[in-house]
Amino acid sequence: MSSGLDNKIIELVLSALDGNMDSINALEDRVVRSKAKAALFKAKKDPGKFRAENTGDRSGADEVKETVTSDDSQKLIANFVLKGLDGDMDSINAIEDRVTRSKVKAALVKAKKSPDEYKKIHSPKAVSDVASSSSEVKKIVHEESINLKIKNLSVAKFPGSVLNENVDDFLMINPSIWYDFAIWLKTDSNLLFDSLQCQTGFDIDGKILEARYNLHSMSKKHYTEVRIQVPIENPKIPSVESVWRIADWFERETYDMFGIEFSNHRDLRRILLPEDWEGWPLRKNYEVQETYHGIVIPKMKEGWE
Amino acid sequence: MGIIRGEEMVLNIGPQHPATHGVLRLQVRTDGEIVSSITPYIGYLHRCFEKHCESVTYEQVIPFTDRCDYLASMTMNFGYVVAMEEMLEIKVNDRVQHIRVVMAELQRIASHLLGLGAFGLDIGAFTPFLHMLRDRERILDLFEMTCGARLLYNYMWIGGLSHDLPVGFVESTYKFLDYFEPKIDEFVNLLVHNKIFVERTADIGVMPQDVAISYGVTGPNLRASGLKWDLRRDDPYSIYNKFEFEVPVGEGGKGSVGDCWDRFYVRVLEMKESIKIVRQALASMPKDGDVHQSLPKKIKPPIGSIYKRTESPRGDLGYYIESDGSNIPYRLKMRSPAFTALSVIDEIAAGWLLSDVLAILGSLDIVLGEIDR
Amino acid sequence: MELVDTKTLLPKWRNNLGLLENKFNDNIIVEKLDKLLSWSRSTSPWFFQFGTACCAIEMMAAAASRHDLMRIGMIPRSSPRQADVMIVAGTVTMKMALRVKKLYEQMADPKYVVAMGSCATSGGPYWQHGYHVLKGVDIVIPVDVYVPGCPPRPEALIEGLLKLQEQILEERPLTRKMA
Repeated sequence: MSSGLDNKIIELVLSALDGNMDSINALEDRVVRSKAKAALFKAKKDPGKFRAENTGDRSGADEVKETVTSDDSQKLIANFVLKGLDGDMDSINAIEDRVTRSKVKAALVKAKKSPDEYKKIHSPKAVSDVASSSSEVKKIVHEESINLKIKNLSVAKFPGSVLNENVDDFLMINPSIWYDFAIWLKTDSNLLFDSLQCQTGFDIDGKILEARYNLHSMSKKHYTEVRIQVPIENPKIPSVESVWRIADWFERETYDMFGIEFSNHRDLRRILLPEDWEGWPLRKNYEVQETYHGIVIPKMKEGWE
Repeated sequence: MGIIRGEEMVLNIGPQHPATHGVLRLQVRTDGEIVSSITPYIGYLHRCFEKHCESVTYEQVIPFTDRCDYLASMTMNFGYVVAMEEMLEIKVNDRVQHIRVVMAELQRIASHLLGLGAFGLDIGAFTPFLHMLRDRERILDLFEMTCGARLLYNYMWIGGLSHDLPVGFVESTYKFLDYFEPKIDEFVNLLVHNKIFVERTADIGVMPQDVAISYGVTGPNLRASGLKWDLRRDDPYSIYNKFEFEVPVGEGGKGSVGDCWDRFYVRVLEMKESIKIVRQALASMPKDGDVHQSLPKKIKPPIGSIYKRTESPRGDLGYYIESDGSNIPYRLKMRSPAFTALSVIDEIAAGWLLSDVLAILGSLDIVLGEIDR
Repeated sequence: MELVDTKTLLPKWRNNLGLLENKFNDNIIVEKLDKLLSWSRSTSPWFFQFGTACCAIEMMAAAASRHDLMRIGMIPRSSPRQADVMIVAGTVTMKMALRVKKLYEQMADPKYVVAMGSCATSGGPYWQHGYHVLKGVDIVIPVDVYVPGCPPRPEALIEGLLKLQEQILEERPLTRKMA
C-alpha cells in the first residue's frame, strides 16, 4: 500500500469519488468512518492520481494495469500514439517519464497493426463521447468537435484568424477580421450560429481586455465560445450589433463596464450607469469617484461606521 | 389629400410610472398617437451585482442572485448552484434534486401569477390582479414554511439546501395544487377570453420568430412566437429529463402567432405544466437523504470558466463564471433574460398606438432588478 | 297592483351611522382644531406608489389581497401630486437619487417619507463593495419612519405605517411654536 491505507478504506473512498457517499456515512465504526472521510478529503484534491495509484496497487498484476489506469493517462497515451501514427516520433521520445514512454511505445506497436481502427476509437471526439456518456449530466450542446470544425473550415476563408492552438474550450479570434468572421459564423450552412447567448468583457491582470461571445445555434443545437483580446491602451473591437441585434445592448454594457470601444456601433453610450459617470467599474484597477452630483459615494469598504 | 403628418412629440414614461414595473424610463417618440420609436433607458436599479461577486466568496454570491430577479429567487439560486456544482463536480443526492425542482416550479407559478396579474393591471383589469396575488400568497406560505422567508430565500446552496422540507410540506403542497388547478380556469374566464382584453392584446406587438432569436429573446416570449425551445427539455439540467411535460407554444389563438395575447396564454399554459412537474416530483421524491450531505467544506473551483444556462420563468438564465483558483470569483456575469426581452421593445412596438406600448411592455414580463443587476 | 309607499323601501339607517343615527339633538363636539386636523390627516394618508426594487413586491403584497392597506385608509396614488406619503420601497441608486429628490419636491405639503427595507434605510447589502448605491435614502430626502428588513414583511410595513399615523396624530400644525 503506497499510502498506507486499508483496502476497505480505499474501496470506500473510490466509491465516494464516484458519488456514493452513502456507504461511508453508513459505517458503524466511528474511527474508520473519520479515517475514510479524511482520506476522501485528500483524494478529492487529485482524484485521478488517487485512482491510478490505488487501483493499480490493489490489482497488482502487470498485465491488467493498462486497462485500469485512469482515463487521463489513457487519453494522454492515446494522444501520443496518434501523433506517432502521423509520423511524429520526436514528441514520444521527448516524454520524460520512462514508464509512460514505454507504454506509449508498446501501444504504438500494437496500433500500427491496424492504424485506422485505432484512430477511429481514440481520436479526440471519440474519447470525449465516452467521457460524456459516463457522466450523468447529459451535455447535448457542448460538443468538443465543433470548435475544431470551425477552425478547420475557417482556414480556407479566413487564414490565420484562429489564434489558439488548443481549441477545446474556445476560439481566440483575431480582432481585425471579427466582423466578417461573425457574419460567416451566422450564415455558413454548416454552422448557423443564429443566437448570441451572452457577451461579456474581461480584464486580464490590468493589461489585456477580452471580449467573450457565447454563441448558440437554435437549429443545429451546437455551442461555441469566441474570445477576442485587445490591449488595454487601445481597446477597439469591431461591433457585431448588425449581425446579432442583441449585441447592441450587450456591447453597450461591456463598453459601460470595461470601456471596450466597439467600432461601427450605431449608438455606443453608457447603458447602466449615468452618462456623466467617470471610469470603467469592472476593470480591476477601478477607483470610485468621490462624489456624484454632490452626493458622497460611500468609500469605506470594511466594517461599520 | 395626402396623409397629414402630425408633429413629433417626445414623451417620457418613467422612471416613476405605475406601468413600467419598476424604475424604467422609456423615451417614446410619437407621431400623433402612433409610436415612431422607443428608446429605453435602464440602469436606475444598477446595484453592481457583478462587482460584488468579485469581492465576496462563492457562497456569499447566492443572496445577491436572490435579489437580482426578486420574483423568481428560487430559480436564480438554482441556476447559480447548478453552474457551480458542474464546475466543482459535485453530485447532490436525489432528494435534494427533487426538492429543488419542486421549489423551482412553484416559484415559476408564483412568478407567472404576478407577471400575469401585473399585465392585467397595465391594461386596466384590477380584479384578476387581486385574485392572482391571493393565490400567490399561498405559494409564499409554502416557501415560508420551508425556509422562513417570503421573497428572498437563499434556499439552495452549493451542494445542497439550507433546510430539509418541514413536516407537512408535501401534504400542504398537494392541497395547494388541488385548490389551484381549477383556479387557473377562473383566470382563463376572467381574462383570456375577455372581449376587452382580447381587443387590447390580440394582434398587438407581434414578434416574429427570427426577430426574437436575433434579439436573444428566450423563455415564454420566444415560445409564444412559435419556437419550441425550453432548456428543461432541450438541455436538461438537474433531473428535468425524468419528468413528462409539454412545452406550450403560441398558436395565435385569437390573432397571429407571437402577439401579446399569445405571450399571455403561453404563461397560463406553463403554469399547468409546472403543476404537472410538481406532482411528479412530489410523487417520486425519495423519503430519505441528507440535504447537507454533499456540502463542500471549501469552495475553490479549478481554474477555468463555465457558461451554464437554466430556464428561469423569464427565459434562459446564464451564469458565466471565471475562476482563478481562489475562493472568490474572478469574474461572474449573469446573462439575464429580461435584459434581452426589453431590448426588443423598439422593434416590436414601433408603429402601434401609444396605449399599446404598455400592453406590449406588460406582455414581456420584465423585472428591472435583473435587467440592471 | 297595490301601491307601495316608497318610503318604506328606504333602508332603516340612511347615513350608515348605525346605532348613533337619529339619536341626538343638534350636536357639537368640543375638541382642539389642531387635533381634529391631525386626526383627519392621520387616518387617510394616501401613499405614493413608488417601488424601486424587491421591497416594491412586498409593498404590492401589502396593498393587495390578504393584507389590504385600504383598511388603514391608505390608497395607492400614481402621481406625486396626489400623495401624502412616499414609501421608498427598495434600493436607491446614484442615477435614481436625483429623481427621488425631484419626486419628493413634487409632492404637496404636508408630506411624509417611509424608508422601507435595508437598502432605503442604510444601503443594505449593496453599498459596501459597490459604487452605485446610495447609503440610505435619507442622504437626499428627510425620512420619518424607517422599516428594517430585507425585505420587510407586509406586516412590518403596516406596523411602520401605523407608527407614522401615530406621529401625524401628535402634530399640532396650528399651534405657535416656542422659539
